[in-house]
Amino acid sequence: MKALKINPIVIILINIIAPTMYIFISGRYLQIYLVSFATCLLVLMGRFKRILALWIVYALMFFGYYFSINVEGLKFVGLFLIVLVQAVPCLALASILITKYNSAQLLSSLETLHVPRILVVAVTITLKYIPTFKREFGYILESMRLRGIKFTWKRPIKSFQYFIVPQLFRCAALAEEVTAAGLVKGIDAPVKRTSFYEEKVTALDISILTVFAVGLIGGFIWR
Amino acid sequence: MKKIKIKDVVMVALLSALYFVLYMICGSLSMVFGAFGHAISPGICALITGTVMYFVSRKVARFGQFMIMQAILMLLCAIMGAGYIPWIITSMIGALIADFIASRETKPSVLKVALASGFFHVGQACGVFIPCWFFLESYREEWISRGQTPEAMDEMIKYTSGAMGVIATVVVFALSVAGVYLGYLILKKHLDKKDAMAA
Repeated sequence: MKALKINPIVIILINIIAPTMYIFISGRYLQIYLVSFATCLLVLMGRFKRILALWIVYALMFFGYYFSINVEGLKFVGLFLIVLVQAVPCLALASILITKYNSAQLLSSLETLHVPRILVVAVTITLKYIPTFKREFGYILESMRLRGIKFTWKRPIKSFQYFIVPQLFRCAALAEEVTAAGLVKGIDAPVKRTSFYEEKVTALDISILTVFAVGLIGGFIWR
Repeated sequence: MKKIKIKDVVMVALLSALYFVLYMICGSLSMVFGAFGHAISPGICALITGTVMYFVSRKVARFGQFMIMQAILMLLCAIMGAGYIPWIITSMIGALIADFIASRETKPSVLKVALASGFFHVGQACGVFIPCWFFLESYREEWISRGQTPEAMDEMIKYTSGAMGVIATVVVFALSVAGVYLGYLILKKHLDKKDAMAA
């Protein structure tokens, strides 16, 4: 089966609407529905490893919840897991946004939402920068190792300083580079932006959103 | 009051990414302290992220910086399936107050940044308090149906409403102020060195 190409805006809209619906419809129904819907969407997108990861994480969290909720000293873990588990289907979809789509595709699709351009640029940069932190932290650890500096709980503020200061100044340096690259591409030009990745809303996208909405309506009937 | 430029937006975006990562780590760790930890989790996060707030106020110093930062955080949380409308509204109001306090000058005093951080994070904390103040019963039943125990919910409500809610708000504010002063202590010599080199 050929993997379907879905506009990122569909995933963004689903993730924005889904948690909001917890106020209006049954939480249990929404949990089951979101896991099923995310699984189907990932199947259509051909993301089978992601489905496996979603189900393993989901199952482990529920196992952890049922195990810890009955143990007096570990109750807080269970209560934390049950809060966290609600976001797992949305997180699985959000991870697709970071790994499957590039910045230009995200920019193009976010612009269709008519959100201010400043915010669109900012959110795209933030989304793309978050996954690099593990690598950045690795660089900091490596530099510290070379200088013979260690993280220690005995001096928490000093240790925190070793981590945060390079990270902050790295952000400042990176901001210069990203801005220069953006300006070259005309990011601040006061005209409507065009893109090689023109992300148009297709009939498939509308169908997916319709199915999602119908499923949510089902939540009002479920009691 | 200087207008925000694209360079400032990029800087805020990158620092927001760092803030978001620290926020997630601290938010998870605060759960260890149970219901009270959950109530004051924005304060615990603020204690750690105060350094980022202070850095933003020194490196960007434009009106709207905290609003953009908060909007990015809220949008990210919404995209990751953790959005909640009352939380978004109170957080944005807190960020607007923070901007009025500390973003109208190029180099606001540490106290102003600390107060701004206080309002910024109290705005986030109100997102936890508001359901307990206004839709208590439906909020309680809803979370019980999602797997929370009635005892845990009652404990959570105890710490987020009435006098305990006020205490939790004060604790969040105090931790936010402390976080910025911690950031000031950490960054003072680094920023002074940079300023001296620039001069």
